[in-house]
Amino acid sequence: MLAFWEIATAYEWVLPALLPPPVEVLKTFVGLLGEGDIYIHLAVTLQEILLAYLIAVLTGTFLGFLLGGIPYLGDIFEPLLVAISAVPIVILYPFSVLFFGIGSGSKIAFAALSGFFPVVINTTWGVRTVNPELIKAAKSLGARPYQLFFKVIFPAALPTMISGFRIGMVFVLLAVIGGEFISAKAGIGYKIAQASDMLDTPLLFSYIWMVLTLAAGINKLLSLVERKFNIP
Amino acid sequence: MLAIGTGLLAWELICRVGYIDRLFLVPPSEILQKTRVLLARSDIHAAFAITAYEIMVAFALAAGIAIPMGLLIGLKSKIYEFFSPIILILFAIPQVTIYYLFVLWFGIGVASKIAFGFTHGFFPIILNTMAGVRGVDPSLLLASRSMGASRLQLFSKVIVPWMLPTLITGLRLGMNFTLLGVFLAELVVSQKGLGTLIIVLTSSFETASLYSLVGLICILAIVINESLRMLEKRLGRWRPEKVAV
Amino acid sequence: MSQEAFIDLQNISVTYLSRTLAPVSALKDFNLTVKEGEFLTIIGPSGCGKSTLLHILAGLQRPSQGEVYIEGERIETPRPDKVAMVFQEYTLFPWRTVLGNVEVGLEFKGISKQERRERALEKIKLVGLQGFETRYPHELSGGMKQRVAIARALTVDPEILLMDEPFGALDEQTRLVLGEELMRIWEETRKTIIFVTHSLSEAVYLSDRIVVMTARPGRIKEVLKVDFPHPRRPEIMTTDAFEDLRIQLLRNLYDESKKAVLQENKA
Repeated sequence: MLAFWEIATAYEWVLPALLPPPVEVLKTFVGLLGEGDIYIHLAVTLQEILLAYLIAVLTGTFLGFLLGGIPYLGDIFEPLLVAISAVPIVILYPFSVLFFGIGSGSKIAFAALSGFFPVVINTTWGVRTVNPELIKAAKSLGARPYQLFFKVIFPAALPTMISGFRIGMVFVLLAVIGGEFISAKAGIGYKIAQASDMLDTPLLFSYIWMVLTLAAGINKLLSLVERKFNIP
Repeated sequence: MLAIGTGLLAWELICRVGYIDRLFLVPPSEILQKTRVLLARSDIHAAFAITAYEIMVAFALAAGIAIPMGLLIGLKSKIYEFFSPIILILFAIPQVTIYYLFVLWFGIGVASKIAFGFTHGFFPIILNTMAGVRGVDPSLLLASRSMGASRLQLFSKVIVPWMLPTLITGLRLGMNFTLLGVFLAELVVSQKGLGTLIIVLTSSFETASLYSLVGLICILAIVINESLRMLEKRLGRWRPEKVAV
Repeated sequence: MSQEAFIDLQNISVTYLSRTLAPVSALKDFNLTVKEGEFLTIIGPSGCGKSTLLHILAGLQRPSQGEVYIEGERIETPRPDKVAMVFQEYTLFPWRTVLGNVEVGLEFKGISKQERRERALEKIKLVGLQGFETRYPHELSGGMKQRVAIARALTVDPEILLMDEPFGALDEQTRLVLGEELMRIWEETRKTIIFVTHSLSEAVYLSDRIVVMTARPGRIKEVLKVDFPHPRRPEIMTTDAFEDLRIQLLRNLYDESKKAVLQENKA
């Protein structure tokens, strides 16, 4: 496929502006790695992703357990959260910039909010759907409340939670890159926007390649975590 | 209800007292007033018409292409095993990175925004269609065959009713993603539409109008989502257990 | 091929590939004839190919070797005009009401709505489910679901009813009641029934003939005739004759079941 791509572009069957030859992308990519500049942007993006994800997972899990554990709260807020999650969240990005400025803060806030919804919804759902028979059985075996939580509810809810963590990560990545793309001063998304403005496709594809590697890497990492917890 | 009322009152008071810059937070009364103004403005109507048109076309395309493709892939195990991981990976890619290509191909007008909405809406629909087809209880297919069901009858009387609720879920999520795609495109590069208007309001610091407009879009999105969810529930009444989001 | 045989299974062998691609012989040189109107039960250890046999009779599966004839006609595809099947897992359409489920076989045949309704209601009455026509499967108990499945099979008016452990998922009491009802239905309609079960008393109570199968590859180990008069009622279960037959069946089956368990452990 790569060969076909190379040939197609070498003979200019497709406009190089649309699809640069892979060799050229590779050259640009390698050149890019030689510059120190790219690492700064990469670091900014990574930091934003990490912080946003941390906030999303921590708050989402905490609130999820709260809503899942207290039926009264769950009944009220679960449908509300599910309803709100339908909002095309990107329209809230301007507010994030309004509140947190054009720097990293707005990306982190926006991405944390994006990632928060799948985490909290899945955690709530996971906790609420723990088989009550399982809880009864554990109680009959003499489980104390904290044991009930750590040895029954948590592991039983974990598979659903993890799938929420996964979707959450996808959303965080999307939100950080998207936020940087729309308005920022640093980061890979910002560089992509710059390359787009300059119509520099080899550069653009190099950045896209970087994002894909990043996405694949994070995906792999999450898979490893899932494997560790024996989740199919 | 009481909680919401109290919240609104507190919000109003905090703003009135004046601790917070009007640039960030505006009292609800002012937002409400701006909403009335906003709803009467003809440029808002025009922007709404454009965005609504983009969303509808993008969604129709996504559904029209993803459903038959999903059926085709889902019905054949071999094809499914080949395509399903590819589709999942493509879905996980932040598409905003290639928005520039959309602009190059389709210009900065309506077409590129429709295309971007389409590529966003496409994936949830095809994934749910595939999952719906794959989920059909094989013993039900066997029983139907024993009763002499033809291939067409297996499809129309077993597979389709079985997958319908899952398909509606897909359409609902597809609609959410189409909205996301279209608004993303409008916020990034666009000359018309509600997303563009959001950018204009933001850069001109018309905070009250911004709240009002974004709030209206949110409500609209929630209404669409909830009505599809009601449909989903109605069609899925026969399902013994609830299914996660 | 003998002309009197209503159902004729000739030298049926079924071999399939296991997950490790090693060939597994499920049935080997299986020969059996069934008379019209007979109630025949097949009993055997798990994995002996009982279900496979029914699937072949229903035309859902082709044997690797051998032929199946019903009234002299070779069976290769499902023949809903002759054969209807009842499965253990009910296989009801969850989005259809009781009536809708009972009608579905006729719907596949393209029979008019009016006729469908009439014939379905008649069979719903036969299995004692009047008043439940508009209920959905998830609102029914296991026993009621299986009655719906039986009504559905009877509605197409087949000559042969294949029943694959139909009461396997039910509790003992429900099982007894449904067994008695099946007996009554059979006495009323005199359909040819081929019934697969794991329950010894069920087999003795219901059957004219019991085929005991060996562990895999499934072959006929013994055929027992049951001569209790009709109408049969569950009271016969307390007689010595019944108990004797049941014990004879148990003896026959026990060694084979042991072999089957060993096979499972090896696999």
